[in-house]
Amino acid sequence: MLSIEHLTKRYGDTEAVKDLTLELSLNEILAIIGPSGCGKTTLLRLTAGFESPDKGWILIDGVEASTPNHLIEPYRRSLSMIFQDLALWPHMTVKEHVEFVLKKNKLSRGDINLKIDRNLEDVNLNGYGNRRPHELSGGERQRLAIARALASEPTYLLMDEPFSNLDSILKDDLQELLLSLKNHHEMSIMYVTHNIEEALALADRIAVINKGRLEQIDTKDNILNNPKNNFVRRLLRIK
Amino acid sequence: MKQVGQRVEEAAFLTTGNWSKVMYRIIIPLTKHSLIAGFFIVFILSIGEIGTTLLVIPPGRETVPIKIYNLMHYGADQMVAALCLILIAIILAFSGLFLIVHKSLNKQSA
Ligand SMILES: Nc1ncnc2c1ncn2[C@@H]1O[C@H](COP(=O)(O)OP(=O)(O)OP(=O)(O)O)[C@@H](O)[C@H]1O
Ligand SMILES: [Mg+2]
Repeated sequence: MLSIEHLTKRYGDTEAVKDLTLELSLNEILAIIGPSGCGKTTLLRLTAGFESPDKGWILIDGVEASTPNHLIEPYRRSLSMIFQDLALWPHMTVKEHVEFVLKKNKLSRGDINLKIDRNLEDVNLNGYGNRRPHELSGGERQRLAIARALASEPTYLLMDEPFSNLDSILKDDLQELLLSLKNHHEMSIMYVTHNIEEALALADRIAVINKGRLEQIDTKDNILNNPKNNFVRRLLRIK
Repeated sequence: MKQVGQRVEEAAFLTTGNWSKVMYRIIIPLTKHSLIAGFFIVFILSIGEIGTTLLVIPPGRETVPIKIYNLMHYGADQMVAALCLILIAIILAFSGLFLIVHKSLNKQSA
């Protein structure tokens, strides 16, 4: 389980995240939804350990991962992140992306190749192994980002609006893919979006954020039936 | 090196946690064009340079441009012309080398 408690992060005068408390349970998809600039990316970066909080803390499986004066390094958090701009490596082929991640655990050449094949098969990119990112379509790039993130077999997956620039059919396909991958691999997903349809299609629970603060967090049904205030009602398009 | 997107670095660091590996596998490959271009530009600019060299050079030593400068004083015209030619040849040779390196890098990444 991943718990975030009273988390606060300031950049100069702007409080990007304010006294935010929430939990990500095992095997759930939590959608984080809120307008642009409300602190969603900052929340993910804090969770990944790229930023340290000004107040509050983050526990990962009971271990203090982030406090204002102590930070466990990102790569030791058993989590992966898919960045808002994907952050693929332009000079590396599809295979090399996955290989770079796998190289960490001293595997034999044969095992690495086997894992690469299985990993690319998972996201239907087998046959694309020798292409570089600029030779892929938007959806294929998105799938490469997913493959790279899954290669380290994370317990937690942080996704920052991964499907935002795709047409709706492609988006549906990728959402389906994500759900089936999640069932195979047992992981908890924090899924940032500002799109209510995406949140409803994927999430078990939804957290609504406004100006760095948590407005409401609840299961899909509860939040749709009992929106706490007008902001939540408007954001979730509840009549 | 700032040109390499911060996220691209972070994505690599998140998976390996090894800064030297991120440097060798991600940052240097992505910036090698600018690094090499920078090296050649600095090299070509400094090879003909006089002003600073005059200030810092120890007695008894000369660079080609300074030799030319000194010889011009004494009016050794043929010697000056020869040295100028040598200097131009060196610069052209290095520009050529730069173009070759640049081309082969492009071919690699194509
Ligand atoms: N490195 C930074 N330095 C200064 N201010 C920052 C920094 N990163 C974020 N901010 C500010 O913090 C606030 C929250 O930013 P954040 O990127 O978390 O928003 P977001 O919810 O992800 O927005 P979007 O949906 O547009 O991606 C914004 O006001 C932003 O300007
Ligand atoms: Mg963002």
